[in-house]
Amino acid sequence: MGREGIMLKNSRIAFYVTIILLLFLGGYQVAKGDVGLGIGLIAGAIGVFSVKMIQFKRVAALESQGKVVYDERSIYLTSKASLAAIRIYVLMLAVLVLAGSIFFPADWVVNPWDLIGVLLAILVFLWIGFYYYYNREE
Amino acid sequence: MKNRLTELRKKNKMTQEDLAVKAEVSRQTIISLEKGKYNPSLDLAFRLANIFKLTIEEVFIYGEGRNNVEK
Repeated sequence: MGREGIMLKNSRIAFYVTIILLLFLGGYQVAKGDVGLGIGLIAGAIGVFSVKMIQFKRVAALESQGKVVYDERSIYLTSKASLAAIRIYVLMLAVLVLAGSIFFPADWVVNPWDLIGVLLAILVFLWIGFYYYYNREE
Repeated sequence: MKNRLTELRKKNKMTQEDLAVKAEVSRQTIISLEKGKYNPSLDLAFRLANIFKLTIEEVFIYGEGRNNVEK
């Protein structure tokens, strides 16, 4: 198994662990009484799992025909997109912190989990955007 | 870095898909290589040169600009 194959296997293991974790958290939320969030988590996990399974099957079908789906260029694009996303993210947060501390009141109360979720989503969307940009450009 | 991949591929009556399968990369990688947008690793450059039974220098032409260096 090559470097790309090992990376793919590791990312699949991480994916399965994440899905199990989300299902467990969903179940825990339902048992705790927060049915809305619990059902949402379970539905989200099942939805993502289904989409990824279709993708995995398509990749397996292409690989069975001798075609390569993930190669060194995929790794190159992933690295380049990651670097660009982190650079923009750090710059964006720096500007936000500066602007926030100068122009906005300091007594705002923010749910830390919501904030972490939003920051994580921004980072993921930046990475996806840069990946597609570099994939088109290079 | 320029290369002669398109010329050599056509000379050997191969499609991009054929070359991709032989070189164990995706077709998209072959397209990028032919357009000169992507510089291959040394390993892939050797594999491609071996497919055409040529040396790396006969397939890839160095000195046409450092287009892989981030500006």
